[in-house]
Amino acid sequence: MAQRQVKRQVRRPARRPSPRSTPKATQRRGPVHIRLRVGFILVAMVLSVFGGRLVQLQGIDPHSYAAMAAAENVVDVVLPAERGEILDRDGEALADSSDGLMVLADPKQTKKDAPAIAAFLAKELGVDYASALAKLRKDGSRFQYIKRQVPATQATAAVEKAKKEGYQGLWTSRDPLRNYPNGDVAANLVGFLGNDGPLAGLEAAFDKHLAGKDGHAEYDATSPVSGTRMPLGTNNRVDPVDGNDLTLTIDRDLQYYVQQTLMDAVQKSRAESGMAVVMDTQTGEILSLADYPTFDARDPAASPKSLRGSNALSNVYEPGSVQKVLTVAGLLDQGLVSPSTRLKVPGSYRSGDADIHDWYEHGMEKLTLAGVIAKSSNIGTVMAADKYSDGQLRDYLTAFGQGRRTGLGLDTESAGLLASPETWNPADEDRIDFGQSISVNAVQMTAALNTIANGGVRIDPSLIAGSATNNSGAEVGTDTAQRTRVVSEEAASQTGEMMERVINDPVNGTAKQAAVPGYRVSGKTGTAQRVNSECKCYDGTTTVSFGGFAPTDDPRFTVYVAIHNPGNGGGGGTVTGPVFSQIMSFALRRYGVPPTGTEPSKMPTGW
Amino acid sequence: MSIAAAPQAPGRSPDRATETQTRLTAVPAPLPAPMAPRLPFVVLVSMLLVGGVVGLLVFNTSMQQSAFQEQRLQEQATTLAAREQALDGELKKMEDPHKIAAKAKDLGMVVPQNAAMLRVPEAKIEGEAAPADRSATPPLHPKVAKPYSVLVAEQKAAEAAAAKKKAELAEKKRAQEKAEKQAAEEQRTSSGEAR
Repeated sequence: MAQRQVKRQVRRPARRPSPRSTPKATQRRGPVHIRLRVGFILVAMVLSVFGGRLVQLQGIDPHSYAAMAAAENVVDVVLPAERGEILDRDGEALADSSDGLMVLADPKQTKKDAPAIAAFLAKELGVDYASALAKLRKDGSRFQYIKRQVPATQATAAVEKAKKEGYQGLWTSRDPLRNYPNGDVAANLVGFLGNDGPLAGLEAAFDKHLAGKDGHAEYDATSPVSGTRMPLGTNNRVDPVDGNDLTLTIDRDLQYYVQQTLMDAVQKSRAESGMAVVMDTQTGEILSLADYPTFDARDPAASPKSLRGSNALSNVYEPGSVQKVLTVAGLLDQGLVSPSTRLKVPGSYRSGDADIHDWYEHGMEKLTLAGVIAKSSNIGTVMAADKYSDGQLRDYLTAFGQGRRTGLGLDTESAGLLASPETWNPADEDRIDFGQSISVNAVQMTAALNTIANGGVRIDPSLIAGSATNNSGAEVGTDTAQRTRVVSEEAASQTGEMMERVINDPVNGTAKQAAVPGYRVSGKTGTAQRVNSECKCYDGTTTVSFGGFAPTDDPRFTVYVAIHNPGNGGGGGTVTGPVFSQIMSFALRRYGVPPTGTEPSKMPTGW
Repeated sequence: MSIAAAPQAPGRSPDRATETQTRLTAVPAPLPAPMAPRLPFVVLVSMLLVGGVVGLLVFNTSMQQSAFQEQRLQEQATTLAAREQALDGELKKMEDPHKIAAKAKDLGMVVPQNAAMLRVPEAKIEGEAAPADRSATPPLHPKVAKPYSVLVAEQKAAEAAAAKKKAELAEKKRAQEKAEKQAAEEQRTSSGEAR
């Protein structure tokens, strides 16, 4: 009420004078109705212009204006998700991410100072002067990459310094950086990330697991350049989802040692390539998987494409005599033979339409089954394996994991070759007994040997600690590793003791070099003829290998080493035996495994 | 408003008016409406108004200010994060087994090929200790820069390239010969025609 009064009082004085002044005004400006009409028309005109504009803005084309307004001030920023790290079993990074930037140039602006800027960039970023100069001078372009994946601090510093020195036309943009701090250590497994995506190894196979999802923030900014947020403006934010880490079962330091030892052995024997696998016997975890030659993940371009992966997984080869262990373990499991089974081994043995020979010339030899293994007699093995009934050997080998992928999660893995039941024939079976006419990859072979070490129970080998799903949707890792009994515990331990004779039998043993002083060690040599991929025939070159485990009576590690085409003509014992010994000794010491202190096997090898 | 204070309207209960016949008496002049003093009210309202506007202004300014500060801190956080990452990266590079092995080698350290273990409670020695020599220490770098298989691959590639070149050359030569032959034949025929 009081307010109304106030208003009235305010208004009254304003109204009152107007009627009084009308006569004079009328006289000056003409009659009232004309003035009213003119005024009305003017107002109507103005209002109809407004109305027309309103219809134009809201009715005809509302969106383009809204979009223009939005574009003026709305800033949409990508919130980068961080790619997961790849870690070793102790959490040491094998691959990690950090903020990186790419340095870009606008040649239109840089053209006039190009030589100076190129010199500046060569000094600050270490780019090649000549190519930088060409880029800075490029005609008709407004966007040139100067350097990609530069550490954020370095790139920002360089661009700021350039601005300070008066060089225009350089800027930076986000370009996440992937670091491989250990260079070639486990590079064969980890793979690497190219400029635009993962290109090899686990980086590629587990890309979806590692990648994460970028978020974005959309908000009104005071100016699109500064990007300062306008309070109370629109603010849509989708938080980024960081990628998951991938923890491997690999032990970085052991991996280094294995790689270096393998490199040394391959070079010393003038061999073509080599591979080595270390597996934890009780868990099936792969502690080390080495390839030589390999590549440097920091500089993949320096190595040929064929080396930028794991040949231990993708290349299959004929395993040779190491396979005899599996043949014999099956026989023992069936109760068809015992380690002391006496065999009269002739110098040559007819199989199909060819003769089988041993690696050394001999007449009739009297060997026990243990002696056959220790001396690595092909003929003795075939004679013993003749006791298998049809299809039995193939069943055992399948159970040992041959002829199928080990399921580590890397799709580059090759399944190897185990003849199908339809194409299986007795002559091939004889050769398969001692590891020819069958091809495997190094991890398959390690897992098979590990079955013997682990008391006859095969554990799926795993490379991923815990579990993770790879790009093809397979869940792999230690959590999903299956255990299956292949041979009885007794058969396994007897096989293990026979393998001990390979190393400790002073007469018939073929690999004294593989011994680890103080420990009981079991192992088996292999020297196989290699199939040449071009002629599909045995070309006279060999694959030498050694696989085994220690301590014999309580195995902790299974180590398998294979070297292709040694140029010095060495065999499994001389070339790979010492590598096995060094790696095994290092692993036992590193994990503090004490010797078991039991008496070594003295199984008779002859009779 | 002033009427409201007057006695009852005569038309409302005429009977009672006639009955009692009370004389009309003068009533005290109507009191001026109990109006609240105007000044405090006006002051209050304008203070609210001004206070509100100023408050809003201050609030807005401070929000804007904090937006700027947020941006500044954000930038600082980004820089610090990048710095932290750079340092972490350096640390990781130092932890590279290659580097550690090289440093250890410089100090004259070797990998023992065999070590014994002491069981203190039982006063027992397990395993065989051997004096450490260099036999179990792998070299830091490959002796041959390019591994054999790479050399072989390169040689093969070079041979293939040479063979290809040779084949191309032969092809060219053949084509040339053919062209020459053709030209000669043409000449012959044309000359024959001319004859």
